[in-house]
Amino acid sequence: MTQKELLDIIDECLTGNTGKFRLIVKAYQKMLYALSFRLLCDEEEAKDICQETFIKLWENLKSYNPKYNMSTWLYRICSNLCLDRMKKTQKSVSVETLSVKIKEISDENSQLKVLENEDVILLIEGLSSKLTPKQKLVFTLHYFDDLTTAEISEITGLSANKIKSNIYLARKKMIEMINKIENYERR
Amino acid sequence: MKEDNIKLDKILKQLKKNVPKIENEEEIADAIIFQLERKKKPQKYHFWKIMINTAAIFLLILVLNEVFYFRSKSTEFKTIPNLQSYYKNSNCSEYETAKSSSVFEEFGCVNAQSRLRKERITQIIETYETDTIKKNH
Repeated sequence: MTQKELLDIIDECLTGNTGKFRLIVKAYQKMLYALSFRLLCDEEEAKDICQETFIKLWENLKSYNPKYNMSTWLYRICSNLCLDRMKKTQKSVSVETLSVKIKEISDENSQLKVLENEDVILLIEGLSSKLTPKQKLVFTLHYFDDLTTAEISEITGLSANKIKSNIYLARKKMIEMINKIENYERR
Repeated sequence: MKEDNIKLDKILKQLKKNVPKIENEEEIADAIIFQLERKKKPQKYHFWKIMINTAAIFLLILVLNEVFYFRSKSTEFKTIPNLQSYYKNSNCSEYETAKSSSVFEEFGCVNAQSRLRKERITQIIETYETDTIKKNH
């Protein structure tokens, strides 16, 4: 969707046309669902966050500044909602279960596998269990959504240095988790 | 350490390729639109309800104001010439009595509402007084 098309759709939406808003939902829902799913590790909660994000967008559509990317704005709303939820719930995965899954996908001969949502949940939850919500968010935006430091800074409001240190710490904690799993396997 | 990094990258690569799949994309969109429609309706109703009520109250105040204004004006126009002629034709003792006792009551000027009329009447009485004094001299 080009910026011009988007602005036309927004104009229509501002007159109360919810049908046109569906086009925006369709264009961005996959992106938002993937982010909230990876952050919350829960399908239903990810759907809820998606809905909430779009409803917030609808309510604040008037204040949209065409200077900025719609996706950045949506990422910002969505990540704030996710951060709130992540602070409330902290899940953990047993090392044993995680060990089996990691072995499956990191096998040297294994090609890229198609994973079920449950497996993705398990792996993300397990690897990021020691990460703070902010670290998890920054790491997800950087590794999975391929966003630049400047874009992440715009979304999270963090400085470039803080973003880099968060990514470094997140990686370090994940490697620690992998070591923990390896130690468990050796026993 | 290097090996750990490679292992982590491998896992992350796998996870990156496996983008979470949404079941029933349309369902989410439908739910959002439904929620928006539901949110939109009461707001619209609420807004128009407030607007209509405000307009009705405003109109009522306007009408009442006009009604009372014209009523008081008409009473004033009716009573004042009568009063004038009454005093012009009356003799001094009658005037004194009227002035000291119930002249204002007689013309329904006891209320604060009719302060304006009261002032006009006082003015007439004063003019009459001055005229009488001038005549006597």
